[in-house]
Amino acid sequence: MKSERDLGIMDIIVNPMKVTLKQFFKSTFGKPTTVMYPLEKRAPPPTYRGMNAVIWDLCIGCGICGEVCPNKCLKMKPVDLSDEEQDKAWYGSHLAKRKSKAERPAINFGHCMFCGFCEDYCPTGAMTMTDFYELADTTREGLIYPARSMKVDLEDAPQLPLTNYMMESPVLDADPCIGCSKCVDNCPTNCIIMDLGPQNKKMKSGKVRNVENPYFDYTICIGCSTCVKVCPADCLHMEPISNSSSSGLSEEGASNEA
Amino acid sequence: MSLFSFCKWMAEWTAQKMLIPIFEFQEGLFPPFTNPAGSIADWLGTDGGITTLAWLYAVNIAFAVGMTNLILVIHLERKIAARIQDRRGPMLSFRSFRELGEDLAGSAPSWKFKENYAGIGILQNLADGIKAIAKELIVPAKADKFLFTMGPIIFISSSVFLLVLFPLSDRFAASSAPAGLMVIMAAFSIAPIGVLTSGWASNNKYSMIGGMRSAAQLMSYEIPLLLSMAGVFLMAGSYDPVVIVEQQQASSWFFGIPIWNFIPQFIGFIVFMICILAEVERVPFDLPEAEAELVEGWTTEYSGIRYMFFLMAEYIRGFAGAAVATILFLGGWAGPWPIPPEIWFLTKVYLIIIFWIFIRWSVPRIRTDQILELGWKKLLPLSLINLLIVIFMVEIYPYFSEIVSLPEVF
Repeated sequence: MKSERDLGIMDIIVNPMKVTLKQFFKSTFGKPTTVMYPLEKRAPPPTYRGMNAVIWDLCIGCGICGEVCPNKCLKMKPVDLSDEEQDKAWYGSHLAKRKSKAERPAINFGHCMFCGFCEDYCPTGAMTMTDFYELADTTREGLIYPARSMKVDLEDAPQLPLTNYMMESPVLDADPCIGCSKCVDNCPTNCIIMDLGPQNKKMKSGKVRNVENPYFDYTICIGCSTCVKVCPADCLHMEPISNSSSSGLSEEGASNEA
Repeated sequence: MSLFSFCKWMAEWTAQKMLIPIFEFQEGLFPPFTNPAGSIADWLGTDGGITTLAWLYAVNIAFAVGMTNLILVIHLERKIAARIQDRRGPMLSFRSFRELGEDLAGSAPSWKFKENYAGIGILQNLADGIKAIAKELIVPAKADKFLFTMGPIIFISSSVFLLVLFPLSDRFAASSAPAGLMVIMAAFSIAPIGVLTSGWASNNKYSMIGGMRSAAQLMSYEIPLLLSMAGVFLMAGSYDPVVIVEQQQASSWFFGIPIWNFIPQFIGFIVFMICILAEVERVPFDLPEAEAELVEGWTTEYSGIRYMFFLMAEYIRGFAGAAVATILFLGGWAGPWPIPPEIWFLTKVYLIIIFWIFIRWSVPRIRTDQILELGWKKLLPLSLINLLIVIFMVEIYPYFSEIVSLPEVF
């Protein structure tokens, strides 16, 4: 190992000069690494996460993106869909039946940390992250992007099969269910139907009736828990998929096993 | 036609055609206020008035040339630094005035970046100067206000003084003192006073250490510097830059090719280049303003135009140092005919400056103990050896060659 005293004239000045001269000629007669930014832009990598864009034809307004957002900067906002948009919307036909308006995501980019969870968890692939990164604004309010400003129209949106990325599904606790069918109205994927359940309920008049209970089609359920939120009687709860049975009806001791 | 005779002709013309009529007209307007001992118009008619006016012109021309070179040197430094670091460097050029004109005319600027802002970048120095002038001059609360203000004045005035001292050629010289190079070195050695003053007056530990380091460095390197210059003075027999350059041009060993001083006095040349590098405080001898250790050295507390003065003065001193090296060792303005001597001189000076810039981005800074060790233990003996060799060449060898008829080598 060379000590400090052993450095010769070559190490002190000649070799460093060689390096700088080489770099000087390389960047003078070649192209400098610095790009002239407003004119030419460097292509971001394929997995780059920039500003969000929502393919409205695919969005079903399930609200999963808002639920998984770590900074809570994404909110579902009710929007007025035009007739054309209503027609093109995937799973959209049932939305007209809803009592509430259709909802689409709106993002406050001042809080957004571009983690990409909304894109990862979106069951339909409607939420995408683009390469666009020039989001600077002069006011804070300018960073709040309303739902319609992130709308993107594609020629033919790929309608992929729905996937439950939440790994949860609703389970019915049949006892308190009153059979109001609010969950059916609000389900974004139409995976619930009201079916005659095994439950007999005693009415105020004294009669015993077999009331209608929700029946879940778990093949298209996306685990958005909208049904749980709207249930007036707190008879639904979410459970991890491995613990829920294939039928939508509750079983004895299902929660105890978990 | 030399610069001074040109200035004298210009001074005569301006005095006869413009100044004397103006002052006479003024005297006619306000007779009670005229000077009883003699009017300015009379004084401008005499030889003394003309010479004073000619001096004013000559100094101003030399100053303008020096300042132009200063801007070019700073631009060169920034551009080469950018190239070495794989950047583009300053790009604000004269074309960007187009945008300003459009703006002033009322039309919206057409943001043509490629045409207007991708220039060579000479205007960047002007922009930086305007920025520095517009900034606030901050004086620390516990600083010695008088000395704090005097430090930059001493430093910049002694540096600007250098600009008029060295000639660009035998005809383009603002001053032609017989002891020209001695005056230049005297002006160089004023700077440590300004450095120490500003370092002390800032009342800041970093400024203090920087000022002390600078003083130690400048004082210890001036001895080998002057000793290595003494060899050149011995060879030429004069302190006059014109005589030194003529001697280099006249001395030839083979095939009539002039042998400039850096070949017979190679040791002296090396010692001089290292010492002048330390004298103008460039890397690797920039200990007084080591950014990694002391914040900005003795310029830490300065802001605005005062800081800009320090920066400017350093580059002026660098330019002057390169000019002295050119005059002493590289043959000054001597060169083949079709290119004018001033261009030859500036070419050599700029080559030295480019070499310094490459040194700056190649080598690391050396330590305080190493810099003094190098100065006292290595450069001082080497400069003495160089002086002995020159004495042998100039005095002893010719003396014995006359006695025992040795071949004439030197």
